[in-house]
Amino acid sequence: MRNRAITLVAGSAPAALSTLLVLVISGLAMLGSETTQRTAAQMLVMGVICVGTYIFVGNSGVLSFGHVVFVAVGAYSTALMTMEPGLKRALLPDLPGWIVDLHLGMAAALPVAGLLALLVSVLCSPLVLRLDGMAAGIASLALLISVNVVIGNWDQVTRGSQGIVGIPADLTVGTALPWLIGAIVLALAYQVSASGFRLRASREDAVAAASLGVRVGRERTIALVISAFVCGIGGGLYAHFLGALTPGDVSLKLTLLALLMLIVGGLRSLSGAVIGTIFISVLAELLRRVEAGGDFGPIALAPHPGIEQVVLALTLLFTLLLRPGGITSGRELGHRLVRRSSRDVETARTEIVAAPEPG
Amino acid sequence: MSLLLRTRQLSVRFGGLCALDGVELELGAGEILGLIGPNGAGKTTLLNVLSGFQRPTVGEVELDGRTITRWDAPRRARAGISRTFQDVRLFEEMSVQENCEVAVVGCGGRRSTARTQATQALELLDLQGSAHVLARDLPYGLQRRVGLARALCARPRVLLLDEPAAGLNDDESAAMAETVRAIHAELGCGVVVIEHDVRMILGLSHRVHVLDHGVTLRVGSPDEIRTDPDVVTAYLGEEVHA
Repeated sequence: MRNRAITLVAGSAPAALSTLLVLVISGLAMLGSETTQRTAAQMLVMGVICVGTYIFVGNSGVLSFGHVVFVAVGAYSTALMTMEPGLKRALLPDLPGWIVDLHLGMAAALPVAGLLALLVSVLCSPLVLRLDGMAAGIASLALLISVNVVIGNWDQVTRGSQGIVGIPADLTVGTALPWLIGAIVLALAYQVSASGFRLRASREDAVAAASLGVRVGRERTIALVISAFVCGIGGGLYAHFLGALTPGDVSLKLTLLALLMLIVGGLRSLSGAVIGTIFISVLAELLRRVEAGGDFGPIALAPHPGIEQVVLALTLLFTLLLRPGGITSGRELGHRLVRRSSRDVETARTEIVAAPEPG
Repeated sequence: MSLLLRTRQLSVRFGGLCALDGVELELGAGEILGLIGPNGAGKTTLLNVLSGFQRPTVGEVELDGRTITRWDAPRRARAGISRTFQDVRLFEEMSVQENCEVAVVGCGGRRSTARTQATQALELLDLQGSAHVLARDLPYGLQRRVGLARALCARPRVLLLDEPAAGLNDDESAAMAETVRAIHAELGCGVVVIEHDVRMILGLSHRVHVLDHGVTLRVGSPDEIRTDPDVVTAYLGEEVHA
């Protein structure tokens, strides 16, 4: 019984510690200026998107450039649900009447947006089922570009390249935080479930997993669907953070930012997704200030335009070169607890060396 | 002895190459069947067909008299066919215990059941000391044993072993043969084992199936195989006379 309790506590440690980390950073940001708070809100939105992407990419090992498609679906659908009907009528005269009359609050709209993204992911799942590795990555990129072109030209619904304005830009640290915590909890619940466990085995070796009964395609689809749901919600939050949406907001740039966060934090663990988001968000904010230049206490800095992008790119490069597993190297926060709850690793290692060969 | 697994007129062609040609393999319930033959004889291809990783060009595979030719690998695993790989293929970033748990959870078992069965499998193979070590941190010989533990963890009815002693030294090979015997005694499953170590396989098997260039050369008891002139010429060479 006691062992079981310890396993339970240790198993939820990654979520608990990640959440704690997010809470601390958000708490600190709340004390800061309005700009700092806005950055923190953006960090929380990116956190939801990264955790969502992680659910699929981290657990399946299949790289996806396409998850921003689900973000885009979530962002646009949330915008259309939460905007003032009068404004919608003016901006999008050809929008079907029932969508115009729809007027939900953000909290009600987000789950719907998540479900719509989920629906799109079901349509995309044949791609994931049939492709692997590099081919899957390229196909997902093609999907992202196709969807972006559709968004850029679907004037009746998205207002094409002009974009939608007048989305309530009311996202704060306080309203974003519960969604990120929810995403973390959902991601952990999936990861420790039987389905998540099977998918993680297939990530290590798909052939061996199949030989042990794992239907790899089915498990990937389950992860994709959950992942898309979370990304859709992330997209809705993003729309409420920006207040205006153009196709460029949900394109390759956002994809690369999310992947940068995931890779730097560590693709293979949930803690990595959270830590990467925090690390890159803080770094990017500091760099933005350097970029703008100005007086930092005793130091006066000249503006350095472009330094943010350069340093972020170098961060990615050096992570891949020096620590390919990212900051967390694929481990979860609190993994030592998990190990300790069952057996000390070092003892185990000595035993292997000491164990006599049977027979 | 009732038939557990059999193939009928099995042929596999890769382009112009005929890897298997009209092979009829029979495995009885609770039998250990040795599968031998020179390199390129089609042993691994046959194992791939039995485990569902390779569709035969012609022919059928039957389990308990049911045709399973079109079943994919996961479905066969769920029906009780389990296999190991020549190159082991462990889940490297998972612990030894977790590697074994996949065998149970993979077939739809609960994680708590998996924990119990994995512990038992590790005890049977004397691996409990390394249960919480990552698979990639194990020495090669132990990795092979974990591969075996993983395959038997789901308590299969048919166990297919692809060169379980490959790369092991003589002592380790002998230990591996003992382990296979112990698993067989514990589960009572049918076992098909591919092996290059002729001494080991003749000592281990109840019957031996000899393949040569994709064709069945002989099927018989270890004693018959040991003295069969065709088999000696094709495969065993001088070793038997020594």
